[in-house]
Amino acid sequence: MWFITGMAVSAAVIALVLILKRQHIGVRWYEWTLAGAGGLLLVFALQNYLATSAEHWGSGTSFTFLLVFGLPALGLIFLAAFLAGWRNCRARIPAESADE
Amino acid sequence: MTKYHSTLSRRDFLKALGLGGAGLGATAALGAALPLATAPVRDLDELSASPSAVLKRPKWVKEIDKPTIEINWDGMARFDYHYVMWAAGLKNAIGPEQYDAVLRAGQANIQSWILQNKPGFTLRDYALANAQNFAACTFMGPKTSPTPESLNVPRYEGTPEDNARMMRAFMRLHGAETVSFLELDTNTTEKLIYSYDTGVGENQGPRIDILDTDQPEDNIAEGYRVLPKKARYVIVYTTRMADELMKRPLTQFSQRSHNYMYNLKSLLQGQTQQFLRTLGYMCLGEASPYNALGVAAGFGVLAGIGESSRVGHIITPEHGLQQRVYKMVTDLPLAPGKPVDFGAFHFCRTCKKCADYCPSRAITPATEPSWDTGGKTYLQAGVKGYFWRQELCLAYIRTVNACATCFGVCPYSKRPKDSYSNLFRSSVASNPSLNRFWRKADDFFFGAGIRPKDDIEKFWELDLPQFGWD
Repeated sequence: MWFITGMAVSAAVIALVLILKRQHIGVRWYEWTLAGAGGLLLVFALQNYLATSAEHWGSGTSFTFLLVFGLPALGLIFLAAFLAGWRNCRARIPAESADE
Repeated sequence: MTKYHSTLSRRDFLKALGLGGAGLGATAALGAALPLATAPVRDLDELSASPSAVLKRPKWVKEIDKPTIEINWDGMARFDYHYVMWAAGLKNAIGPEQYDAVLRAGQANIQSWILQNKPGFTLRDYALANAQNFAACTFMGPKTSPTPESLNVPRYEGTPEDNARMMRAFMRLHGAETVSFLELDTNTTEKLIYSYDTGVGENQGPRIDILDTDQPEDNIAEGYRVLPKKARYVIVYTTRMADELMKRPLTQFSQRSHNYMYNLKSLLQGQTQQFLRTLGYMCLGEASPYNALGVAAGFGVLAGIGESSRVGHIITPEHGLQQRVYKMVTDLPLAPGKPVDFGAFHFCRTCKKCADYCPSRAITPATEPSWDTGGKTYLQAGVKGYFWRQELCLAYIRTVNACATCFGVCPYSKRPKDSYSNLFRSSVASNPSLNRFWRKADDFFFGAGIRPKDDIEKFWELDLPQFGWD
C-alpha cells in the first residue's frame, strides 16, 4: 500500500513541478518546505483515518485523526500556495505595468 | 538454499515403490505434483533458513545485557506454584468462606446475565467462552513419535544458532507468534523454574527436582518430577490473542481470548515435544494447559520476548499485552536471545492507564517500581516491579466471570496498523520525555481504547481473519 501511495504522491509532485514550470511560477524553498510538511501531515491524517476505520475504532476516533492532522495539513498547503501565488502576482503586476 | 539433503529423490521414490520403468510415464505427472506437495519445507536446513526462522524486531527495539526490570538473584528463591493466585492463592488470601461466596456470586451473575441477554453475556457469548478443547499437556510429552534409536539413525546435530532458527520456524508453522530461547543457570535463571509444579485444582503439585541425571522423570505417585541438569535450554514462546476479543473486556469475549490461546498451546507443546523426540532430544513441557513449569513473565523478559509491565505481564513491541507466554525445557543446544528495551517498562511509570481503568483497583498507581512484595505469599520476591493486589483482581474476575480490562486499555495494545501507533512505539523507545504526551494522546484519540457497549455484540457481524489475527 505504501508503494502505491508513494507512486501516487510522486506522480502528483512531478505533475505539480511541470505545471509550475509551464506557468513560469517560481517557488521559494520555504514554500516547498511548507507544502511538503503539509503533504506529509495529510498522508498521515488519511492513513490513520483509513486504518482506524478498518480497525472499527468508530467514526469519532477516525474523524479526530482527520481533523487534528488534516486541518493543519490543508492549512500548510494553502499557505504555501498562497505565498507562492501572491509573490508571483506581485512580480507580474509591475512587469505588466512597465509593458504598458 | 540450493542444496537439500536427507530428501528422497524422485528416482529413489519410484524405485522404492517398485514402479521402475512403468513409473517413467508417470514421472511427468509426479514432477508436477511433488514440488507442490513438498514445496513448503524440503528438509530441516530449508526449514531453518525460512524467513520466519529469524526473530525480526522493529529497528527501535534494542537488545541489552540486563533486562529493564531489576532482578536480585540472591534474593530470589524457586517459587511454589501452589501459592500463585490461580492455584490456592485466592482462597489463602480471602479465606474459604469468602472464597465460596465469590464463586456463588459469579454463578448467580452468569445465570442472571444470560437470562437478561446482557451484551457480552448472552448464551452465545457464554458458549464462545466455554468452547474449550484441550490436547493433553504433560511434562514428558506424548512420546509416540519415532526416535533416532527406533529408526537406527544418529540424532540430529546442528549449531545452537541453526537449532534456534529451526525451532523458531517449526513453532511459527504450528501457531507460535514469537519464539526465543534462554539458557538455564543454577544461580540465576534456574530460580524461575517452580519448586513445586502446577497441581490439580488448588492442590500442591509435584516437586520439581533439578538433578544430574540422564533422563527426566514424571513420578506423580511419589509426587516429584526430575528435570535433568543437561536440559539447559528454555524455549519461550507466545501465541497471539485476537484483537477484537481483547477490545471487549469485562465480557465473555475477553474470556475467550485467553482460553483459546491455551487450547492452541496445548496442541503446540505436544507437537514440539514430538518433533524434538524424533530429532533425538528431550523436551519437557508444562504439565497443564495453563501455566506450569516456571515463571512465564520472567523467562519471557530474559529471553527477549518483551519487557515487564505494570500488570506483571509481558509487553511485546508487536502486540503489547495481547499474547500468552509459555515455556519448555530441552537439551537441544539453542542460541539464547537477549533482553530487549523498547521503553515499555519506563512508559508504564508514567502511563498508568491500566491502573486508572482497573475495575477492582488491584493495579498499583505507584510511579516507581518496588522490591517490596508486602509479605504477599503469592508474589515471588527478588524483582523490582509493580506488585498488584492479585486477590482483588481474581475475586473480581470470579464474580463477574470476565475482565482483562488492563489488556484492552493498554496503549501498546493498539494494532500497529495505523502510522500513529508506530510513531508512538518508536517515540517511546527513543524519547521517554514525551511519554506523558503519548498517554494523553492515547486518551484523546482512542478514549479507553475498548469497544463501546453498543458495539460489543457486533462481534458476531465482523468479517474476522483466521484466529482473529490480522
